[in-house]
Amino acid sequence: MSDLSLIKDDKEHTIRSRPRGNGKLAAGAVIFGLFVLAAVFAPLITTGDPAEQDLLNRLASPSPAHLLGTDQLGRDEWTRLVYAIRVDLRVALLASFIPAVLGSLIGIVAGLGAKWLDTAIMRISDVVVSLPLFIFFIALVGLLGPGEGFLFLGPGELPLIIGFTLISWVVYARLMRAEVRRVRSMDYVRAARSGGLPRWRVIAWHILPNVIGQSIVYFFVDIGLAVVAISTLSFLGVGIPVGTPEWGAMIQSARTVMQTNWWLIAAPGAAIALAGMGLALIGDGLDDRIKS
Amino acid sequence: MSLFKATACVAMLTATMLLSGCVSDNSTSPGSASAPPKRGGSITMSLSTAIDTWNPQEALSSQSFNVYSQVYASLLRSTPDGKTLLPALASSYQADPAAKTLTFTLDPAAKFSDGRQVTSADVKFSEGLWSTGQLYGSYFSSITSVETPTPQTVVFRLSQPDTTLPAILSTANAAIFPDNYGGRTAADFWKKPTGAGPFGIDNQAVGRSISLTRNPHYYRAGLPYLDGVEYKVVTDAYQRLLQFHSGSLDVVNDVELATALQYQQDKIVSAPSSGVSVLTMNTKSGPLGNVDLRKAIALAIDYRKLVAGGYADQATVATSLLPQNVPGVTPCPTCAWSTTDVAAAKNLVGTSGYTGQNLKLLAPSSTAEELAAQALVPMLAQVGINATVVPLPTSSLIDRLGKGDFQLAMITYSALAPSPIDPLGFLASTGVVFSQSDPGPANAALSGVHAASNPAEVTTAVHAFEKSANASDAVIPLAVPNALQAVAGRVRGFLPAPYLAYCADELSVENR
Amino acid sequence: MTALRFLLARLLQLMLVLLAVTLVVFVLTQVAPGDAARLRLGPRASDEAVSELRHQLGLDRSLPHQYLAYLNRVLHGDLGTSIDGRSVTDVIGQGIGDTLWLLLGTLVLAVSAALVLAWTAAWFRDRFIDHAIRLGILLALFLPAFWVGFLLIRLVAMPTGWFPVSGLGSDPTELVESLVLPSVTGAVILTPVLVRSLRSSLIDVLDSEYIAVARSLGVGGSALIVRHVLRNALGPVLTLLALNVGYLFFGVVILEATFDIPGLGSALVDASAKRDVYVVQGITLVFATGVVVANVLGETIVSLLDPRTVSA
Repeated sequence: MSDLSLIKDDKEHTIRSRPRGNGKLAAGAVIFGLFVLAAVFAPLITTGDPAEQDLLNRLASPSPAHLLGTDQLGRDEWTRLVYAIRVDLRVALLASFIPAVLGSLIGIVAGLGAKWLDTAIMRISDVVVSLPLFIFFIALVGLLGPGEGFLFLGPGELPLIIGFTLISWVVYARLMRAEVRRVRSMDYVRAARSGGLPRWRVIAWHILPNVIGQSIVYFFVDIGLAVVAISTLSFLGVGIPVGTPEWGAMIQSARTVMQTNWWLIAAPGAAIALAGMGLALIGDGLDDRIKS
Repeated sequence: MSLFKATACVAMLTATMLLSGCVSDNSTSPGSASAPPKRGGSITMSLSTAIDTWNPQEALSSQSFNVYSQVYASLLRSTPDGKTLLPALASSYQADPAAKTLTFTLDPAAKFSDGRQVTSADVKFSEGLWSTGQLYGSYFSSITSVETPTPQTVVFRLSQPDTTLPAILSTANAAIFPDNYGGRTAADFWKKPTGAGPFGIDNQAVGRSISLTRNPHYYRAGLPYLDGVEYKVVTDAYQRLLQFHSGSLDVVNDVELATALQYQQDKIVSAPSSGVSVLTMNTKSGPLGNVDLRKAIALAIDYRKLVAGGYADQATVATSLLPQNVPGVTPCPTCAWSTTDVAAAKNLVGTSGYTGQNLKLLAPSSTAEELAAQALVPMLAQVGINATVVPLPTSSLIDRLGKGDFQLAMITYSALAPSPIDPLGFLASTGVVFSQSDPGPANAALSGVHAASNPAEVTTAVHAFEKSANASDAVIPLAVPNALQAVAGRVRGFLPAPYLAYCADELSVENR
Repeated sequence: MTALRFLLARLLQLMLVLLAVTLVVFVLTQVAPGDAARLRLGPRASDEAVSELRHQLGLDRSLPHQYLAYLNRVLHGDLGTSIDGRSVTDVIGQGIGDTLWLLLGTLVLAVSAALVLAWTAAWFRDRFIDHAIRLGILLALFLPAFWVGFLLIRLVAMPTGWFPVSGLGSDPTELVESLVLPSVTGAVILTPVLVRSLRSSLIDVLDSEYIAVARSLGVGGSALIVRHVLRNALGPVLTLLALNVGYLFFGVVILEATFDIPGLGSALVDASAKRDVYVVQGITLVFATGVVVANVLGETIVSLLDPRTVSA
């Protein structure tokens, strides 16, 4: 789904009489802020260990001791839900940030560089867009397995980040290239250039600040999409390995007890949706503000 | 749930009797007192994995044997509870311990599903397949030759008066096939074989479904009641539950322990299990080659908690490596299975030379073992052993085990008939559940059971094996999972079958 | 003449991308762990038999050679054999029907829903209902499809018993019944992607002079408007679908896993868990070819619909 249609076009036909987006921005910031706070203060608001099992107290119903009950191995569901934020958001942030930087740089090069370079980059991005990259990801990670952890990353996280980078750099590159081409012919850039400023200074001081807005907007949307995609892949068994507190994996393993303990499915799913929506509201609100 | 079959056999006591004498053919179903069974209709049953082959001599999956019971027939059969032998393709047999012969008289009604008569030549040909089978050939090691004095008579010459043999001859491991594959090539035959069971293969979508239709030439007159049986491969335990709920499955042969409570409880049929869920360790590579580390693992496990949590309280703690419900298997008095001692385990880890390597624990995905494996990890961590669970599709797991490409793995293996021959034979032919440890003790016990002339000798042989298995700790019995089946209300005549494979010839459906 | 040249150029482009696809898919086999020949023959096979099969499969030759051989086999419709001995083309043939039905069901539902929502939003532009639809669509982007599927199973299918919960039916009635829940789930993922762009395309159309004239005709003009708008919306819808077809295929994989439908997606997930390299390779090739062809086809149709693109 990495295409521009997600953020473009939507705002072009709206009339604005007053600055908008503050409401959305605030709502999004509150939602996302709560997730971040919960992740940071996880040890304080939970029982502390998402892996701790109480095999004699499995599938307990919600109670003051276990806010969301316990799962099939007697692990506290609330604790796992909160600790999963750390896993999901960590991976989603990296899986959006790296392609954002990389793609933006490529986009600037395409927009300012030689004609042949621009053509080459655009043709490559055409091919990348036209390949079913998620399908390739399932095939490849399925065959290779999740692999070991890497630095501070857990098992299965590095392939996800690499995969998402390959998938979504294109969006940033195209976004950035279009913006750069729009801005570089503007008067103030021409003025700065003819004023004899070094090239990098023109780019850093005059072009970048004016073109980065859209990328930032998409960045927030992208983190949300990454959260959904990460949990979907672990549901399919090709992402973060079983047993890790991760929302998609939690849904996958609680499926079997859906009849009786439905909240074990409902809660992680709602968390995915809510996190994504919070980020989307931030992105949309920012977009409103940039355009008004 | 249960991956592996291991056949075993019926009451050895009946062996020297003339069989037709002890036939008690009053196996009516419970709760169907009212109307007599109606002919017609069909049912859909689930398989938790696709059958691995149509050739019983090469089959490892217990699911395959479930299907074989419908398609193949043997000389003898057993009651669903496995306790009594009944005549099947052979209407009677005579054992002569002095002459060391077993003589079978074939039922004139015995025909293959293509209408051909079952003759002694077919039996001789089939025996050739059984005894050369790589996995189960040892079951038939007592048979030295087969003679066919008349088309209706078969004589098995034996090296010893093997009392276990008749029971083995009631299983699909001793299914009767048409002589010379009915004129087909072996490869062609095993694509769509012909048997003398109650149903014939209509069509099959490999890996997905098998439809069987009534064998009009079935030797039991008036049977089967059903026109057809549809087997549907549903690997996911949760999907089996959903499909049973929605009525698209009539029988779930393999109710996953973790989902048991999600079914309507009056639809669940429970039988004493003939399976054992085990932890097997690769003794040939890595740190697990060290016996102290293996012992440490055995001592680190809290078996009671594991059964309560990992096996969803639908199992009991295992007291022997061989399935303890099999006649002849009793807990061995000198074995220390299922003992927990965390302090001792920590000491053993210290002396084992283990340096904290991360051990991969393979478990079949969507089974009780996947959950139990996760329950095991913290117990091992407590004594300083690092393990990570790797869930794998059942077929890949078997593949990896066969290649020795694993460190730790959890599986359930089951007996399909009540005799220690079957689990022992399975352990011997798989290098003790793929642990690559010495199959010598299993083979010795196998010979001991074959040669035994009374139950005490069987028990002695079994205990000797258990003791050596316990000493090497290459395979640790963890739990005896309940054998659960879910049966829809419209199905009549279903009897709980502890040995998983049951013949559907007496099943019927209510017509509404 | 220009149209012909345009088509030829497109065809050439298609060929090149397909070639790239086979290369990527070929690389999949190279990175897969384990030896294809050993996997096929099983642990008990002798080393001689394995090297014999390696030779037969051409695994002992150089990579470029292997790639050309692979290309040659693919052109002849030979995608290899699965580890359980089935031909990969059979595996694909078995699953492709269910996958196509799912695609069709999802497309029909998602496109209809998107048209209705986008039209409503465009018509009531900047009014409350427009904002509501746009916010709702934005948020719906973040609903995990498998979770929506489970909710539908738990809250609709199980209590009512109206819809089958897994697999696709065989006769027409059963088929339609069994397609309902997966298609609704699929539409929940796909519709938001379509609505956002469709809304602005529709606004462009509604703003055109043509519509202004039609509107001035009063009631009699509304049928004209509908026809005109629909015809003009066709292009953007096709472009959007072509752009998102890769994402749509990913969605179908999720649907198949959620509703246990034995299509290509389930087969892919299954095979990759079993490390069944040739099946993974074959199915990936089918999906990738589908995406590429759909892309080119979509663009071509849109261009042919709009003569300006061809001459430009």
